[in-house]
Amino acid sequence: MPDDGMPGIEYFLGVLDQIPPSSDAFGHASRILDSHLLRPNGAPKASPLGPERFLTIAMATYDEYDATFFTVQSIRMYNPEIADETAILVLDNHPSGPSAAALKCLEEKVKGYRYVPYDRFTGTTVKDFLFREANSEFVLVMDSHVLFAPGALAKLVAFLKTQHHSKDLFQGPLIGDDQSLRGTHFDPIWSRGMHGQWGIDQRAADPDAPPFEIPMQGMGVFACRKQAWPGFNPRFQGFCVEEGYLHDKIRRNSGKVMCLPFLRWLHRFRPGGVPYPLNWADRVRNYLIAYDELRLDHAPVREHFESLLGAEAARPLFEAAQREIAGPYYGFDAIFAIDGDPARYQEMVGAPVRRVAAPETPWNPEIGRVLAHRSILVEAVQQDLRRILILEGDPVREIAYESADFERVLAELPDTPTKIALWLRKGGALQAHGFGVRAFGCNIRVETACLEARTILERYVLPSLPRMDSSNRPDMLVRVARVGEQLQLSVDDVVVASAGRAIDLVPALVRVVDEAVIQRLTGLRAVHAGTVVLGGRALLLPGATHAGKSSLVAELLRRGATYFSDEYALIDPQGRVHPYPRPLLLRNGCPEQFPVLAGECNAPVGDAPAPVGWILSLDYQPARTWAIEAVPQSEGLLTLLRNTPHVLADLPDIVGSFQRAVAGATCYTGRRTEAKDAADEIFRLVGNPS
Amino acid sequence: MQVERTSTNDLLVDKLPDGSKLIVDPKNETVFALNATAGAAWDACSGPTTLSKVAEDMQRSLDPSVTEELALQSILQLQEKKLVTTSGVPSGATRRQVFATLSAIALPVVVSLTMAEQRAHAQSAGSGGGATTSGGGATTAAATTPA
Repeated sequence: MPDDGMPGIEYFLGVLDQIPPSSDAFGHASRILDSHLLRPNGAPKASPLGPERFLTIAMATYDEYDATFFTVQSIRMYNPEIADETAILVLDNHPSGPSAAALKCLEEKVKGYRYVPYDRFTGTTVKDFLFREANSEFVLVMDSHVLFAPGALAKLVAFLKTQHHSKDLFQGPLIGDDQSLRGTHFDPIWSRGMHGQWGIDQRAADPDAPPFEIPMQGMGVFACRKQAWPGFNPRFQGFCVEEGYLHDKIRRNSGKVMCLPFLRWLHRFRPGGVPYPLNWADRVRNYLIAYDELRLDHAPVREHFESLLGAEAARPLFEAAQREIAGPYYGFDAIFAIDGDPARYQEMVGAPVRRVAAPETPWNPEIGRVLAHRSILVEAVQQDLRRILILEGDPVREIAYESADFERVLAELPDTPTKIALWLRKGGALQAHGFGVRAFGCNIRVETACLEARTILERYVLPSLPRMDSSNRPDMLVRVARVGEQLQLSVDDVVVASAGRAIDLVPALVRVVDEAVIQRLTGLRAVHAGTVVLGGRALLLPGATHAGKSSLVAELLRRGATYFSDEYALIDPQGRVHPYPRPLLLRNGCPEQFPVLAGECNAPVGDAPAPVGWILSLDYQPARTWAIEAVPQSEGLLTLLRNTPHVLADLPDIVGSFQRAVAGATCYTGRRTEAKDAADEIFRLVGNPS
Repeated sequence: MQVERTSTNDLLVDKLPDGSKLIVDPKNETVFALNATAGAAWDACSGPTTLSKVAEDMQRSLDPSVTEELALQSILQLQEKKLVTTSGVPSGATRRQVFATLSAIALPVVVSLTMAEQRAHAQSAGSGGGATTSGGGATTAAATTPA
C-alpha cells in the first residue's frame, strides 16, 4: 500500500509497470492507487447509465429540490403504468449547490431515476445534454416544476409508439392554475425580450382531439425522437432563445411541430416573476448566434431590443455579440477553460467559456490535467462538437482539437489516474494540433494549439507541399504557443521568436524552416537566388540578403513568370533547378518583412525541375541606371559558388552540379534599379518566353 | 618569350559550352574561371612554348585575327593568377595595355575564387533577416536563424 509520499507511489508505479494491465492484479492494485492519486472533491457523481427504456422523461434543474421532488414523484405516483417503460433523468446544473445531495439521493428511491451533474456552464440550453444522456428512443424534456394531466404521459407513450421514424417535435397545451386552457402555441410576436407570445388554438379544447401543427411554443414541455434531435448551438449560454429557433431547425430537418391536445401540462410560474435579474446581454448574444446559424436577418432582433432597452443601451450588447461572431474564436463550437479565473479567459477570447475544474491529483497535477482533457473530449464527442479549444495555465496555453482528433486522442489517453501516471512516466503528453511536411528529405513537424497560429502555419509553411502523416519522426519540431499576450515560436523546444500576432512570426518561421531544409539537402545543392521560370527555363537572380531579390521575383511573377523561390535555387546533379516554393518575404520599403504567396501575385507555383536559362547577378543601385554585361559561363559558375551556403571544400560535387546548371545558361552581371524597371529590362533581355 | 604552365598535375579542367573554362586547383584551393580567350591561351600552353606559338595556336583554335598582343595579354592574365610562368617578357608589357585594334574577340578574363573566400561566402549566405528582428514587431530570441 503506497503512502501519499512520492517515493511510495513511485515505487508502486514501478511495480505496476511490470504487470500486464489486463491482469486482475493490475486492476486491483490500480484501484487502490487511484484512491491515493485522486483527491475526492465531494461533489455528487452521476448515476450509472440505466437500462434502455422507451422514453426518458428529462429535466434540468438549478437549486430547486422541492419543485424537482414533486415533479418527479408526481410522475411516478400518478403514472405507474409507464414506470417500466420510462426513465427519469435529472440534470443538476448546480451540483455544488444546496440541492445537489438531496437530488442525488433520489436515485436510491425513485424507480428509473438518474442523476447527472453538470456545471461547466449554466443556462436553459443544458437541456441539450438531456438528449445526449438519454438511453431511450424518445425523450420528453420538461421543466422541473411541471405537472401533467392524469393519463397524459401514458397517452404520450402510446402515441410515440406510432412515431418510430418521426422527425417531429411534440408539445402540448399549457393549462393555468385554474386548470383552464392557457396556451397551445406561440405566435411569432416579439415581446419583453422574447420572440413568441402565447396564443390559443381551440382545436386543443378537447383533450381527445387529434394532433395539429403549430408554429412554435414555449419550451416547458417538448418531446422528440432522440435520433431526430437537431441540437442547440453549443455556443449558447445563459437564458436562451430556444423558442422559434428549435422549431425552425425541426422544420428545416423535414419535421413538424405538433401540438398533442392530450399532453396538458401545468407550469409553476413564480409569483412576481423570476428571482434572478434578466441578462439582456445573454439574450441578445444568443439571438444573434441563433440568427447567424439559421442565416436569418437579425434586424427584427435589433429593432425589438432597441425598442425594449433603448438604442443607447442596446448598442453595446449588439456590438459585443457581433464582435464575438466575427472574431477568431467563433470557429470553435465550445471553449473550455481548465481552472483559473473564467472571467480572465472570457476577456481573452471575447466569448463565454465552459468552466472545467481539473480533478485534484496532488502527487502529480498533470494527471488531473489529463483527466480534465479527457472529460472535455468525452463531452465534445457526446455533444457532436466539431472544434473545441481548451485554455489553461498561467500564462495561458491554448490547445485546439477537431472532431477528427477526438476519438484518436481519447484512445491514446488512459482513463484512470494510475494508468495516466504510468503513461506520463513513459513520456506521454498532451499534444497540440499539428501537421507534417516533408521538404527535400527534411521532416518538419508543426504544432500549435492556437487558432490564429494554426491558420497562419497551414498557410505559410511551404504551402504547396502536401501535408504528411504526423507519425513520421520529425527532423525539426516547430511549435507556436501562446504565452500571456505573446505568441512564441520555438524550434525543437528552443524559443526563436515571439510576437503579438502569428503573422509577425512568419519571417522567422520561414528562415528556420529554410535553414533546416538546406542543412539536410543530399542530392540537391542550394544557391542563394531568387528563381522564376520563363518559357520552361529558369531565371536565377543570385544575391545576398537585402539585395532585393524578393521584390524583383514578385514583380516577375505579376508579369506571368512561374514561381520557384525568392530565396533558394535548388540544383540537382543534372544541373536542373527545383522549386523551393516558400512564401515570398517582401519589405516594400518597410524594415519588416511580410509574407506573400505566389498566388497573391496571380502566379503559378512550379512543380517540376527546369533547366537554367539565365543567371543574372545584379547589384541593386536605385540611383543609377540598368547596366549589365554578359559573362562567360565559367564566371557564372563562380557566381553560383559565391552564393551557395554549401562549403565547396566539404562538398566538391557542387562544382559538377553547377557546371551542368550553367552549361545551358546565358550569364550576366551588372546593376539594376527598381523592380518594375528591372523587370522591363529582364523581359527585353530574355524576350517574352511565356 | 617562354611560357610554361605552373602545374601540370592535379588541375581539374573543364570546358563549358561557350568555350570558357573552369579550372579547379585542389592543391592551392582555388577555382578559376577563364573566358574563351584566356581559355584558348591556356590550351596553347599545354607544353612549354613561346608567345608566338601561343598566338598561332589561338588563331587556330579561337580566331584567325588573334594577334600576338592579345596572346600576350592572355598569358599575363594567366601569369597573374599563377597558372603559368614566363621568362623574357617584353619590357613595358602590362595588363593595362588597351587593344584598340581588337574587334570581335573578347579581352581575356581570368577570375579566381579561393576556397577560403568561398567558405566565407557560404557562411554569410543564409536566408536573411538576421537574428535580431523579424517582421512586424517579432523579436527573435536566439541566433539559430542564418544571417
